[in-house]
Amino acid sequence: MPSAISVQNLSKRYRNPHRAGRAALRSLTLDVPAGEIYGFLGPNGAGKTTTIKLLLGLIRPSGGGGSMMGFPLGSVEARRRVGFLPESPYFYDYLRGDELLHYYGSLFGLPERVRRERVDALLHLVGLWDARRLAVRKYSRGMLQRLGLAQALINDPDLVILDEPAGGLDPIGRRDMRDVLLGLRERGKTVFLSSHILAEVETVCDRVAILNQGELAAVGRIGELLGGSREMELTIRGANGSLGRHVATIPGATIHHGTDATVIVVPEQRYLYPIIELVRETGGQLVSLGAKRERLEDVFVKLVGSAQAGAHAA
Amino acid sequence: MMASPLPVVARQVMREAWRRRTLPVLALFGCGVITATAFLSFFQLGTDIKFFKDVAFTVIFLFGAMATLVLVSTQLSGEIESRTIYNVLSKPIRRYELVLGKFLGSIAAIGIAVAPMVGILMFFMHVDQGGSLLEALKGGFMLWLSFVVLSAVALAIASFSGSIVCGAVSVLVYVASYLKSAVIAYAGLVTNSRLAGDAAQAFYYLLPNFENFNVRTAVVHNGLVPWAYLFRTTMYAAALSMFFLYLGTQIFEEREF
Repeated sequence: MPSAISVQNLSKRYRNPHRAGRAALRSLTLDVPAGEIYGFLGPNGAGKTTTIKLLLGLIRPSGGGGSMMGFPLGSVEARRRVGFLPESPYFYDYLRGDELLHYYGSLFGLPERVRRERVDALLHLVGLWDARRLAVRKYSRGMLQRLGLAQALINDPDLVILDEPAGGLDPIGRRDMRDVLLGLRERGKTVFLSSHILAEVETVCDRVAILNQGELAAVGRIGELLGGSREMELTIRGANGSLGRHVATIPGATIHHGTDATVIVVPEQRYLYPIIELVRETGGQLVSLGAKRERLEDVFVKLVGSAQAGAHAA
Repeated sequence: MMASPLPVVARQVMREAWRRRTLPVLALFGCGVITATAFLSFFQLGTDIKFFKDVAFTVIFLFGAMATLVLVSTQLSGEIESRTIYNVLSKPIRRYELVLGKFLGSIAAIGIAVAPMVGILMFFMHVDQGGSLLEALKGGFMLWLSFVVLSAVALAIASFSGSIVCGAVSVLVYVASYLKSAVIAYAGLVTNSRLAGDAAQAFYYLLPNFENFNVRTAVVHNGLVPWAYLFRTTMYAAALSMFFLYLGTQIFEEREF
């Protein structure tokens, strides 16, 4: 599968003395396959926005390089095929929503007829049709985010780069955004999604890369990253103290008492049977039982947390 | 082959100038002052047309310079400060095209703002039969040329600074450029230092000579602005503008956002 984005040893060290303490990005090598939704994760200051700025040529790399849609990073040819939604997008507040989209469409050299069709379709898509004649300064944060998505799609790009697209969106807005992303993938477009909302990423992304302190901490398909955990999870109602004492004897097991139920996680299946027996004997009720599914959040916290703990220890 | 984004950016600058109201308000105010001066001159004070022409040119100069500085100093830095630069530069536009588009839009908007003031001046000159309208038009054009150069200077400064610094430095450059002959004379008179003399010379050649665009005295006193002078000064303005725009685009090319 061809790469929509391919970077090798991409590095950035800011010349600004206030940020000179460490490299913002260190030797990042990444391949984003075309036609997929690619999650780009990392804690604040990990280098995600720096990477996006390097891709678009807003800043220059200190080392390394790469290509976007087959063209050098930051080149006009690459940018012609890319749509970009910055984090917290800002627009010319004296323009109306439709005027703004027309302006950005003009920068792509779109003929007026094509532009008009696209602007109308996008305003409908992002739910701003009724607000199209409103000055942008009167838009709410969520509306600005929707307008940002619309301008990112004005050139019908092959690659869409989104930096925190769900910021400022309400639950309905987030669902709409998710639908748009899935629709783009259906049409064979590539989406490069930088986000903090891990549940969202887990739902829509095919692959993810996790960046931490300017370095790639993990990369792979969601399924690969979540791995094949052997842990089992039981949910029990009416558990008594003897159950807690028993679980405490199992190495690596955890017990969490909720208001309504108790959740027990054991490292292997063989530890289950004595617990089930104990529940039956003490008159408890087994509510659910199954393999514990690791979430992206767990992987993220493990990777980022351990790296940060290592950094603090050093 | 894609169409150049220059006219798109230029149109956007003109639209911004109109919507933000600063330019139309300055132009309207300038027109009002010129009209009021005309009525005062002709019907109240009984002074001659020369006084009116002198005041009118001063008003056009002041309001035009103000409009230029307000508009141009916020062009690039405004995009950076309001972070709209990310949306623009992620589109297929080269940085020099953005700077040139801003320049073209600015000088067009300033021309549109100055034109009615020159028109009113010519109207009252026509009413009073107070001199050649063509010479007045040439005078207005020369003033606009000075604003063109000032725009290029301000954009060069804006390519590395914020809007406030750009505005302040542009005013300094503009004022210093008008005063530079006096500065050289002062340096020669007051100091005997070779270094001071050389510095004054460097200062003289580095700054644009805005006095070249000042033909007010000729127009006010019914003199002529020779076509050859007009041509030479236009070439001078073009060369200066290109130099400062080149400087500005080179600096802007290196900037990181």
